[in-house]
Amino acid sequence: MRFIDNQLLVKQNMLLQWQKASRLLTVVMVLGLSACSLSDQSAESAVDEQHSPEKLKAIAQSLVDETKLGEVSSGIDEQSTPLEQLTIAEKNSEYLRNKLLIMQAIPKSVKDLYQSALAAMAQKEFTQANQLFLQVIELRPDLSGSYLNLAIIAQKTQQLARADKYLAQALQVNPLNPYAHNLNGLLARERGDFELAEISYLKALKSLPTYADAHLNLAILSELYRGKLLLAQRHYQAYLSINKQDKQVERWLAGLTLKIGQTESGE
Amino acid sequence: MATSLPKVSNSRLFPNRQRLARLARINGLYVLLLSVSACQLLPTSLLGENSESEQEKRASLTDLAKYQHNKNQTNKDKALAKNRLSKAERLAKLADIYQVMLTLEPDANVRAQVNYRLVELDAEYFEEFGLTELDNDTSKILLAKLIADYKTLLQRYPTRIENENIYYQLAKAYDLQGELLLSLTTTQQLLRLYPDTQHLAELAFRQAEIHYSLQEYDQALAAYQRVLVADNNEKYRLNSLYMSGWSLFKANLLVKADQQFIGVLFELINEQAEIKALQDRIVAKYQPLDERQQGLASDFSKLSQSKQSLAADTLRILTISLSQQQQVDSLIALLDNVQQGENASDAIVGVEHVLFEELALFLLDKKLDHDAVLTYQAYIKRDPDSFWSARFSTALIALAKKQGDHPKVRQLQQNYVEQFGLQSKFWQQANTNQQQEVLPLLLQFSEQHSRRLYAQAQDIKKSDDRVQAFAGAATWLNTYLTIAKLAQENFQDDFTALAIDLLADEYLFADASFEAQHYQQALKSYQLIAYNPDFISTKAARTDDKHVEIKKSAAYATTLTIRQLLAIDNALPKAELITQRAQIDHAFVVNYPKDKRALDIASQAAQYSFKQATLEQTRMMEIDALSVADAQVLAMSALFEQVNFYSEFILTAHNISLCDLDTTTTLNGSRLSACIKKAQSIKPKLSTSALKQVQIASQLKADSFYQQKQYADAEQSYLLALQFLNKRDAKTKITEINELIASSIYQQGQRVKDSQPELAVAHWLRLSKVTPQASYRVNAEFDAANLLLEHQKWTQAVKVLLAFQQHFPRHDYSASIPAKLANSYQQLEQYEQAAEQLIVMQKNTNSKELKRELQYSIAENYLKAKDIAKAIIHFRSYAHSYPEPFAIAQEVRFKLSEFYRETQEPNKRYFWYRKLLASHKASIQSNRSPKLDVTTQQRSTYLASMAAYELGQAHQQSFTTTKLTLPLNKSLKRKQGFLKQAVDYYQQVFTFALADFVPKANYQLASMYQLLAADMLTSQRPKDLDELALEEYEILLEELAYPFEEKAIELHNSNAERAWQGIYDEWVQKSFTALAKLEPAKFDKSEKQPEAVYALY
Repeated sequence: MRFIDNQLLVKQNMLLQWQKASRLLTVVMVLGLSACSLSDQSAESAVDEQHSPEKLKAIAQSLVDETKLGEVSSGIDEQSTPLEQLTIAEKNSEYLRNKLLIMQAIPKSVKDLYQSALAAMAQKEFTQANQLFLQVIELRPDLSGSYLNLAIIAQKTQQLARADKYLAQALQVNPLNPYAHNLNGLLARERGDFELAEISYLKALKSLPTYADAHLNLAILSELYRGKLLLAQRHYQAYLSINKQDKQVERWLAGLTLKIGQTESGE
Repeated sequence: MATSLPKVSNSRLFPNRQRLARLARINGLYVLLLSVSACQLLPTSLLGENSESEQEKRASLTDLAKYQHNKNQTNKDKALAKNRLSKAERLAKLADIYQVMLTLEPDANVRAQVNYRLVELDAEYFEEFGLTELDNDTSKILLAKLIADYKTLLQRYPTRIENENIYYQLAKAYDLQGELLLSLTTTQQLLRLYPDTQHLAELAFRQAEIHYSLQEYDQALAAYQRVLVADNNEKYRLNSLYMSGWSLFKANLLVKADQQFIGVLFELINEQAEIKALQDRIVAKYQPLDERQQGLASDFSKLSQSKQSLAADTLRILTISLSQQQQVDSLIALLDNVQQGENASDAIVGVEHVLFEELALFLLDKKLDHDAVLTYQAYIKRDPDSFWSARFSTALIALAKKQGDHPKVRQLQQNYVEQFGLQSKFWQQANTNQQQEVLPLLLQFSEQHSRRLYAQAQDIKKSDDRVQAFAGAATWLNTYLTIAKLAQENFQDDFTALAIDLLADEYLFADASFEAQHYQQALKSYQLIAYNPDFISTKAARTDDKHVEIKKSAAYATTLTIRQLLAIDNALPKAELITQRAQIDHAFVVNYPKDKRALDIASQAAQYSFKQATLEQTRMMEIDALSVADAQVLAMSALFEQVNFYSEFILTAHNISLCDLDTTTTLNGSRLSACIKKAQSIKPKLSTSALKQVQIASQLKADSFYQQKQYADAEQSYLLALQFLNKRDAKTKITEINELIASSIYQQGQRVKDSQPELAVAHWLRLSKVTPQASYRVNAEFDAANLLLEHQKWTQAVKVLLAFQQHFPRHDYSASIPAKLANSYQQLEQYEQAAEQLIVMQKNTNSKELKRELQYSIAENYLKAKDIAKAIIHFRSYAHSYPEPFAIAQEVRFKLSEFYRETQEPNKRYFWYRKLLASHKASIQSNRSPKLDVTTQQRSTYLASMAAYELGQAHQQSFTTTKLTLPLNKSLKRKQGFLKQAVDYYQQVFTFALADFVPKANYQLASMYQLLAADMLTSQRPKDLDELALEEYEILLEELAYPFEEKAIELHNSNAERAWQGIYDEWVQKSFTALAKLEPAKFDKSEKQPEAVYALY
């Protein structure tokens, strides 16, 4: 039997009261206050570094590059990409380094089979996609991509237990797979396991720091479900640094920043 | 038990009889001896003692005793009269003797013998002078010539030394010539001239003889006396002594004469002794002195014929002499005098009895019986332990008998046995011959006396006297038997000839001992008779009908005697006696199975053995089981076997056999009933006593089986025993046996209850059929039920329990039956019946706590029986009656609320919610002692939260369904009323702070505000408003609704933020959903879901 922490309830109510009173105030978000950290370190320790505009710019640039790279790689990733072509940020990703090395050794037939599976998935021909992914797994059980897509298909078709199983297999085969961690975070959040969700997102971002969706997902989780407003603020910012045109997220960031400002002013 | 006494007439028993007879014959004693050896016990013989034929017959002891009683006095009188008469005659008789005495001379033959030496000398003389071959005339001439020659020589040579011989020859020649005076003168001259002559003795003797012949007794005596003191007088000394006696006798100097005569006897005795010693030196060396003396006294056979005659004559004259004096007194005086004299020697002892006997016989011969008696008595007194005393006692008895003084005869006979019996000094020193002589008399006298005492004792009525009398009889019978057995052992041939019936005598002794209360002795004797095969040695005797009967009687008597012994305190150790009794009873039953009394004995023995066995059993039970010795167990088993043996014996005798059935047949009962029918058919044929025996035997047999825990056998045996009881007479017994049958059946069940529970139940249940009235029935049926319960045979158990309840509704055990039934019904899933039993239980108990528990169980059973109505009734009753224990009370309230949910009676459900809530709050507020445990607290909190939430829901429902209609203020107030009530309950949920209820209460609360706001906006518009007014109205509504919407947002937000604590359930999720709509900018945020992942790695 779980009891509700009443002390916390009181604090929350106070916060709500304060929010309610300052509801009409518009607080301009001060960029300088907003911190952005790609690491999973605590916000407090990273504030000073994050306040440097140059640094932010550089990071923002690198995030954009990663996103691009990621977008490119998600499509034509399977073409051989020389290591020397990776950015600094990409070179910091162990996942990407390993991927470059391993993908060079994958036979084309496997890659083609995988592509045909992806095509079927895109066409929502999940049965065929499933079969094809399983064929890929049969050929190369050491590659996590097929497991992950099988998990996504299962999730889409509301087979959550099956999804968990494939996802676990994917992570077992490749514990560095950021997309698998991201999906793991999503599923955990839906179950209400917010702590695992947070850990999973952070793992995804550790494998692939330029993974914009993971930033966004972590930001939403932190704001709504974890009450970690500053962390949320940082990852909204990171996301926006990659997806600069996402106005909705910009509004979310602005609203959050306002809320943070109200909280800090003691309202 | 009258048995014939032996006829003691065999002469072989009397080896000395010839001699005695010889002596007796002289004095007519022979007849007396014969009469001694005859039995005179018949009354007729007592009346006529001279009738030989009557003497042969035997009187029974009883006859004798009766006769004795009547005749005693008469006999006494007669005897006294006879004695008086004898005294009167006595003087006359003595005078007659005196007359005879005056003419007495020595026995001619003896006299010749006395002179034999002289004749011998004369013969030598004749030979010397060649006279022997001459005829008488020639001799006379030659003798005359010799005389002349001698005279001439004496005259011619008067001083020659040879003249001594010439005088001697001359005196002899005169004597031969018959010239006694000349011879006497010549002898006197010789003695004067030659006083130391070598012929002194002869000459003096010749002188004495001449004087005696001339009746010059004084001179004769003097001359004889000179012989006695002369040298070389050996040839004349004895005769001189003898003749001195006669000389004195003739001179009427009787006392002195006596002394001379006794001197003669000494001489003869000594001579006899010397001869005998010479002949039998070695034997004599080891012979005791007294025996030697007796030997000497008893005969003079070693002496020459002449000396034997001398002895006889000396005795004769001495006796006659004494008879003329003071008889025996004179004899005693003589003997005393002799003993005190210079020549006193042991030899006197050897001669004494002869003297006494001679005197007595002489007196008897002279019809001086009384003096003879005195003589015998004097001797007996003088030497009471001698063989001669025994003989004289016999003579006395004969005399008494002759006088018809039977009391005296009996007294003498009794004295005889005492004085010369096996314990006497006499017996110890007597030789075999003497013993052999005395023994028949001892036998006869002891037997007569003992039988007499026995008969007398029989007539005594007074108890103590009777016992005393029988004690005397027993003592004498014992004496008699001891003698008889000695005779049997040592003188087998004689004994056989005596035809003594030892068996009968021993039986008489046993009877006397019994009557004298000498039970030990009686028992010993009865046993000897009954069971000692060596006691009667001959086959003929053993198979003799009379003996067989005696043995049987004795055997039966052993059983009576041992019982008497046991009845006496301070007898032998009881245990030994009891063992002995068992052996005795067993022996009787085994040896005399066809004797009717055997059945009685067997009956008693069975009872005794059973008692002993049970005692033994009790003793064993009292000690530690490990300490019980095997011997004890065996002993106990043996006792029970005895019981069985006797019972079987009795039953078999009455043609009754046990029903030999096994358990199965007992159970089905068909063979059993046949067996019982047979017993019932036998019963009417039995006599009262037989029936009694059968009753005892059959019951003991059963008891024995029962005690040995052989219950199947016990049951059958008791059933059999039951058939022999009279229903009218033995109600208690019948009840008792029925109880035992029941117990046997019960125990059979008890024995197999673990190994064969079904069989045990079968036994216990059949008990009520076999013995419906037995007290065991209760336990049997109840135990059967319990065993069935233990083995989960619920259906059977219920059947048995219900039957028990019906049979014994008021029995204590019945009180527990509802519980057992309830349990059984529950096991059988017959919950309604279970509940009914529980209700009975509840009614019957006074315990409040038990009542409470039962109330709950009743309700639960109705619930299990799906009888919700009754379940509700009983749970409701519980809830109202038992607020404690708190935890259960809360659960019952909850159950009731759930029942009413099922019955769709919401108000009743809410009632119990309110009760739940109120009780919980009361429990928190009150300082309960003891405090509720954590689990109870948590559970109560949960139930209270649930109740509060449900009540909140109920009011929320009313709130939701209440529409805002015109007039708005009224409907709004009404709706707000429901809102307030709902909020009140939801706030209570918050107070209880359970994660299971707070988020949903929170959500519901938020939803209500949200709904209120929405309802306001969509509330009924007044119809009479124009457009502007309507717009204002709506603005007003919005203004009114806004705070509620804000409140809703606030509450949803608050609920959503519970996720921050990790609390995320459907209600928190719903709040997120609600917020996404109410504040999309803040909450309508969706994560980016991947469509696909292109990376293969």
